[in-house]
Amino acid sequence: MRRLNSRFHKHKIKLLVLSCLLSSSISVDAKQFGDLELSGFGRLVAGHLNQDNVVFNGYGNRLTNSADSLIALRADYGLNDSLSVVGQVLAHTDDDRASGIQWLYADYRPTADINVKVGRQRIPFYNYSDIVDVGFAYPYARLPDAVYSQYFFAEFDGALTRWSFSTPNFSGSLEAYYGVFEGTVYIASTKIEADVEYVYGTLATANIDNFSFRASYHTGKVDAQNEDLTPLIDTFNQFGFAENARSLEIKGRVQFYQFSGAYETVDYFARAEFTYMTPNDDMLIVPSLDAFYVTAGYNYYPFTVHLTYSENDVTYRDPTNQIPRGVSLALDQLAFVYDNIFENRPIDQIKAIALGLRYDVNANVALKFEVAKLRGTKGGRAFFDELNPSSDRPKGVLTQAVLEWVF
Amino acid sequence: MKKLIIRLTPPSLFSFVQVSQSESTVIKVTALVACAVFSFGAGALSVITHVDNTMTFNKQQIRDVFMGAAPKLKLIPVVLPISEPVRLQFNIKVVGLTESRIQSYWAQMRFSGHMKPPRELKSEADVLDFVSANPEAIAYVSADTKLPAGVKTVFVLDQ
Repeated sequence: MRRLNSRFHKHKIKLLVLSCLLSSSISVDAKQFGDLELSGFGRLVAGHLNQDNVVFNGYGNRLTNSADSLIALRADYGLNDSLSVVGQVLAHTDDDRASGIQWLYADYRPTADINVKVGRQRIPFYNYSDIVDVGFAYPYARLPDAVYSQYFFAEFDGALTRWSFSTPNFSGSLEAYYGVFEGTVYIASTKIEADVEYVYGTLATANIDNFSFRASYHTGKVDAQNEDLTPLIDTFNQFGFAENARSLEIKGRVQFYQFSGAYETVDYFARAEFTYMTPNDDMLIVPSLDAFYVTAGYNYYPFTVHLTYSENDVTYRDPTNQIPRGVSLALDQLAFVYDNIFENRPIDQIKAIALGLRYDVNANVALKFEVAKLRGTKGGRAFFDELNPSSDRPKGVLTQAVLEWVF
Repeated sequence: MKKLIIRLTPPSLFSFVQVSQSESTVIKVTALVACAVFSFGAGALSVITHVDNTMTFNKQQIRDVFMGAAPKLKLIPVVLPISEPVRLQFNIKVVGLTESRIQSYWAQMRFSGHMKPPRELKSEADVLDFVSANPEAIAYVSADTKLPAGVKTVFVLDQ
């Protein structure tokens, strides 16, 4: 079975390389077949972490190319001048990451400056939310984990409207959306099946001279089931400790704020993004998160160099344990289990500094090389998949080489 | 004996400076592909529209039109191929970004579903034909290009 998986993986990598070669040799542009336009993108990522016995987002002390490599195909079918249908399918080489339809929506443009999308689409939490997988669109080999690893959920089913405007001195856009989502969410990097009863948000962008800004606000009501905690929640409810039970539930409203800015010239660029996420006060198992990254870069066409610093802060609220101690052994054990859960809530707090080089081979192919020094807090998890028990904190140097292409 | 040293400098300099030294000639060439400058020089460019277009433009507006940020103006921008020096000049002097940054910008716009890049035509002759036939068209050509009757200049960028 293992051999089969390995052979299948090799085939997927070959397919990626082949599609890159084809896309770079045939044409730069998307292909037009009457009213149907086909385009796509891919990335082949090889990475290595310089630490034994730890794994960071799929990277360990052995060169791997299966953690982040992917390929996607996008089809845009025009029904008439103002209405089209867009679909995008994506395949990851990592079997743990969801492959399949990411976008499937109707795109209606009643006027030149208004755009309405209805269907499945990316949720625009972050500056790069829409194009997280399109590595060709940004200078990083890996978007800063302090900010982008906190991705709560990536898609929603609903409607989004965008209004673009321009004046002689600046341009910008306003967006608003409303939708629902049912599927996998990531809470403190833990994969949980959830029902997002509603999610809505608004965002604004502005471009003035060499500056561009983006600010957004999002909120949603989540009802998620952590299967590991469900028996315990039932037990607390049976014994009448409703507050204890409630504190373990992931049920309530979450709010998310984002601001980013960039300054770009032909020679230099600087970018920064700040995010803050906070759950309802009684959702104690979900942390508040604030994060940022700052980037300084230099363009020396066709090369781009960037230096990026990123960090995040995780804050949990403390619970009130209703369970009386010293009454019975069973209650003492229950209280101990409860305290233990809260003492061991994962601390995905990380500081990272990354130095990266991008080389644009041609108009649709780029090569990247990046070295990132990662450092978590003592006793924390810092988005690592596997930790070394003999080390007091997660850390390591992640080196990545990436081939990016669009077609 | 004279030595020839080619030193690459950042593309924004867009300069071609010959400096004589005692034993060597130092030629500073923009990193924006030396051949582009050799074949074209650092000349001016003209932004053109159909002769019936009554709009006036500043540099920011032209940038917005070519970056898809001014859809309300209902203009159809067309661009030249990457191999054309005037395109590189337009990118640097008007858009203010390198070709690779512009390509990554359009990848972002395309795959986020916001908009698609401007149509690319093969030559200045094709551009002039397109603009003279389309009242909403806007394009750029080198300043010394002779314009046909249906096309006018709306913005000139000096070198």
